[in-house]
Amino acid sequence: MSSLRQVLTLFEENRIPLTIEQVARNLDLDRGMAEGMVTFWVQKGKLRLRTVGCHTCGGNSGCPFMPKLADMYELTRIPVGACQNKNTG
Amino acid sequence: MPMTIALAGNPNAGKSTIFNALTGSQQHIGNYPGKTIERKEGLLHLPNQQEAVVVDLPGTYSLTSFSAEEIIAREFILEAKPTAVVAVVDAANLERNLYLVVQLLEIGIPLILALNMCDVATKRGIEIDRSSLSRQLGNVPIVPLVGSQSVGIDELKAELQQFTTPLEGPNPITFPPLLERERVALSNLIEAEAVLTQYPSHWVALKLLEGDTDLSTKVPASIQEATAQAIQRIVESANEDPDILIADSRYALIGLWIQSAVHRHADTTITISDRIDRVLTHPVWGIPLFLAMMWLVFQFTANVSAPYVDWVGGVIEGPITHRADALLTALHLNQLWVRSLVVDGVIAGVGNVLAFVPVLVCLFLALAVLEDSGYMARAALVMDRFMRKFGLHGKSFLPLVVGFGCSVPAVYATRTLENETDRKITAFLATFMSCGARLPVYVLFGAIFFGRSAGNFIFAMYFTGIGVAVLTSLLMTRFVFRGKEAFPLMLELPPYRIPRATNVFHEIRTRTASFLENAGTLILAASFIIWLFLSIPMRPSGSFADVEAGDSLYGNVAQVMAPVFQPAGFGDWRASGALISGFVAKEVVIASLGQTYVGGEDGPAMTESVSAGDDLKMVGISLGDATLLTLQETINIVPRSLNWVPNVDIPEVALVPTADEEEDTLLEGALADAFTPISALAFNIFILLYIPCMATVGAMRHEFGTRWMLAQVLYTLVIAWAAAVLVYQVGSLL
Repeated sequence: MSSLRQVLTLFEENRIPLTIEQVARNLDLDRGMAEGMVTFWVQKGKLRLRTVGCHTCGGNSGCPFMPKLADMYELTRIPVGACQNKNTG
Repeated sequence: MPMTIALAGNPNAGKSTIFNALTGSQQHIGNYPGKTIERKEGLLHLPNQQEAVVVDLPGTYSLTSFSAEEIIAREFILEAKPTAVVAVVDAANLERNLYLVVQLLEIGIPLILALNMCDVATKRGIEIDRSSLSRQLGNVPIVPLVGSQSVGIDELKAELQQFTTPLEGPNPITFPPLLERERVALSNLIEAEAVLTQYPSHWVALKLLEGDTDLSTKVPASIQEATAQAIQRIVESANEDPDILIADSRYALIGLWIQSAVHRHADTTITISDRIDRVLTHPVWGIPLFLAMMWLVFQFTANVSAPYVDWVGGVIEGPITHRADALLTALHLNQLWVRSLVVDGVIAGVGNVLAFVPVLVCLFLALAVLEDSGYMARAALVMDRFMRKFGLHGKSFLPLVVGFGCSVPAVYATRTLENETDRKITAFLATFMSCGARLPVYVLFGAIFFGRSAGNFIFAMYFTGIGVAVLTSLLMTRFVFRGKEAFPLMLELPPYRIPRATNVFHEIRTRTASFLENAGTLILAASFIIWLFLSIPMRPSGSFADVEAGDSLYGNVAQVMAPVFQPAGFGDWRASGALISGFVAKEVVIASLGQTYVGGEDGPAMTESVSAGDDLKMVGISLGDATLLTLQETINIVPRSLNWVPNVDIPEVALVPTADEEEDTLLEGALADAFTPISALAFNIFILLYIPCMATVGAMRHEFGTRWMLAQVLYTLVIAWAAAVLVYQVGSLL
C-alpha cells in the first residue's frame, strides 16, 4: 500500500481525529512529510481539520477556555460500520 | 534587459527575509492583477554590476490549483519565464519543503536551491550532504543560508551571477511506467493539437492526469476526453487514482533523497530547558511543584483581583444603578415593573456576574503565562504519571485540563482517545474539574468567609474536584470497566521561554471577551427569566413585579426544593433556587443569588439623590483605592506564602489603612448573614460536584447516549448531596 493510502487507512481504522504527530509516529514518517500527506487528503476532501471547541459560549474565535491543543484531522465521511461502537453505554 | 529571478517556497521558509536581504530598500509592492495577493518586486545589484529583478512569489506548499497563491506562483513561473527560480527551503523541515521543489523540477525550469535556516537544522542535529542532494536533484546548485543573519546572501548573489544556463543533469523525476506511458501519450497529443503552447506539454499532461481543475478548463474537449480515458485506464490497471500515484511517487522520491543526503545525529547537548525539566518534571518533586504552582495561581487570582471585584461591584451597585434609575425617570419609564426589571433583574443579575471579570482576568493572566512559558505541557506530563496510578489513560489528561476551562469542549476533546471506555470515563470525570464558570462562586464565598485565605479555599475546591474525579475513576475501573489498561502519554515538550506579552494579552483579551459575550447573552436571558418568575405573584395580595420574593413563582418552586438541602446547611429557598438556575450555566448562580438576596433592596445610595459628579468622584476615588490595595496584595503574596514556613514571620506591607480594606458589597453582606462558614463550604462543594450545566449534559448525550448522560446526572447529584451533607454535618461537630 502506498504511503499516502496508509495515511487515509490510519484514519479509517482508528475512526478518531488524529494529530500530525500521531500520524507521523504511527506510520514512522517525518513530521513534515506526514503534514504534507494529510494536507493532500484534506485537499482531496477525504480529511478535514477538526476544531475541538464548542459554540456554547458564543465566542467568535473558537472556545476561549481551550488550552492550545494540536490541530486534529478527521475523516469527512465515516466509513460504514464506524458507528458500531458509539452510544453503546 | 535585466534578468528576472523568482523566489518560490513554502510559507515560513524565510523567503521574504532573503528577498529583503537581496533587494534592500529597492522594492516595489503592489497586487497581482485582479487579486488581493501582494506582489513584491525588487532590484538586485549583482557583484558584476549587472541588475536583476527579483520577484517574491506567494508562499505555497505545491503548484496545484487549490489556492489563488498556487495559481499565481505557477503562472508567473510558466508565463514570465524567469531566468532562474530560487527555491527557498527550510533546512530544518526539508521533507515538507522538497515537495514544492519536486514540482518545480517537473516543470523543467532553471532552479537554484537556497537552503535556509541551516543554523536551526544544525542545532537539531540535521546534517545535509549538499553535493549528494544536488546530484540527486539533477545537479541543481545549492546555497546554504541563514537568511535572518544575512549569512550566505553573497554566495547566493555569486551563484545567480554565474547562473546563465542550468547544468545539464539526468531528469530526477520518475513515475510508475503505466503513468509515464499515459503522460507521454497525452503530452504528444497536446503538442500535436498545439494546445497551451506557452506551457511545457509534459507538465500540462501531468497536471491533467492529476485532475487540475484550472488547466482542464483551458484545454479543448478532445484533450479532456483523452485525459478522462487515460485516467480510467490508470484506475483500472493500478486500482488507484492517478493523482494519488503521482503524489505518492513524489513522496517516494523525497524519501530516497532524504535517505541518502540527510543524516540526523542524536542531540546530546543538555539545554537550559533540560536542566529546568530535571526539577519540574522530577518523578517525586514534579507533583508537589505543580501543586505549589497552582496554589500560587489561586493566591494571585483571589487576592490580587479582590479589590477590583469590590470596586466593580460598588460601581454597579452605586453609580450605575443611580444613573439607570435617573435615566428611567428622565424617560418617564419609572413604573414599578420597568424599574424592577432594570435594577432587580438586569443590574442585580448580570451586574453581579460582571463584578467577577477581574477574577477571570487574573486567572487568564496566570494561566497564559504558564502556558506560554512551556510549563503547561510539563504539568500534563507530571499529572499523567499520577493519573495512570488510578487507572486513567495518559491521554485523558488533556480533556481533563480542558475541563478546568469549560466542560463542554472537555467532553468533545475525549474524541482524542481511541478506546470508547476511556472516552466515557474521561468525559464522566471531566465534569468534576472546576470550570471557569464556577470560579466566581468560589471567589464570592471565599472573600466573604475566608478573607485572606480565599486563595487557599479556591485551591482546595479545585483539588477536591480532582480528588473526587480520582476516586470515581478508581470506582469505575474496579466495578464498571474492569481490566482496563493504562497507557503512557506521549507529549512533545516545547523549550521553556519567557512568556511573550503579545501572546499573553491576546489570551486574556479573547477569553475575557467571550465571558463578557456570555454575560450579554445567556446570563442576561437567564436573569430575565429569573426576574420574570420572581415577579409573578402566587398569592392574591401581590401584583406583578410587586411581590415578596418568597411569595413569587420562583420562591414557591425553590421552597419545594429547599428541605432537601437542609441537612447540608443551606435549606434557605434562595440558595436552592440558585442551584436550580445554575443548571443553565454556573455563572447564573451568582446572578440568581444577586436577584434574590439583593434585588428589591435599595442600596445605601438609593435612599438619597446622588449627583452624577459625586458618582464620578466615587468611581475615581474607589478605583485609586482598589489599585493601591491590589498593589499591596501583590507585594504581600511573597511574605504571606513564606509565612507558612514554621518560624518565619515576614511583616506584610500596608499601603492602605486597614479600615479601608474591607467594604462589602450588598450581595456579600446579605450572604454573610445567610450562611455560616461551614454551610458556605458545603454549598460550594455542592456547586463543584453537582450536575454540570445543560450544555455539558447535552454534549454527554450527543457523544454517549441518553443512558450514560442520565447515569452521570444521577451520580453527580448523589455525590454532590452526600459530600455537602458530610462536610456540613462533620464540620458542625468540630
